[in-house]
Amino acid sequence: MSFRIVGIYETGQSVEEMGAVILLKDAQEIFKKPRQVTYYQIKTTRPEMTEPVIKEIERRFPKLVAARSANSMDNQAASTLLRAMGWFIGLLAVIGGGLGMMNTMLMSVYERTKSACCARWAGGGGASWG
Amino acid sequence: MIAREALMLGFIGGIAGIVFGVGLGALMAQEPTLGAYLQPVYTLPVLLQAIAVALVLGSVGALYPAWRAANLSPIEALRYE
Repeated sequence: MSFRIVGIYETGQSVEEMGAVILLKDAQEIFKKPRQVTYYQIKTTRPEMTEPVIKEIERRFPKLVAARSANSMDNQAASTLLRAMGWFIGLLAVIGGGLGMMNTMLMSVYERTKSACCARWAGGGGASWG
Repeated sequence: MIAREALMLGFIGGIAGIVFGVGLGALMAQEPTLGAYLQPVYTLPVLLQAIAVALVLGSVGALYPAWRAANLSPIEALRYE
């Protein structure tokens, strides 16, 4: 399937600017999802109507997820995956950092065992070394 | 003494981590694809949280070494001669 570029537009949304707009029928054919739509963008004429519209959509179509555009990224699978990866990497860093710190301090204790013991002999308090 | 050293190390490590993270974030923002999706935001609470985590890690990591140092027996010195 080939396309002809008919125009370029900017939205200010980086995610949208990296995409292309094609006919729904063509998209369904390319992605092999006939008669399916995964994402609708609805613009309300009055801002105060946004919440009632969201509630009405969820009441009428319980299987659909309706969200404000500011929150829509939160529902994306990619952002969920990124978040999970962030937690995993954070956990690894915490475990690695803790073990690294323990190893560093243990080495420090081993290296200074002699001076610590000499200080103890000379009357230095044990707790001060802790 | 060991615990104090560990806290200092944790604090310095936290600061170094923040500097490294900010540098990496700036580098990532230079990359067109990734930079368009993810824009790093640095707020004071996040930076303070990072330092707090580093301090807690430092003190937790130093618990066993500090306990070991505090309970050293003078006889141990002979083994290191």
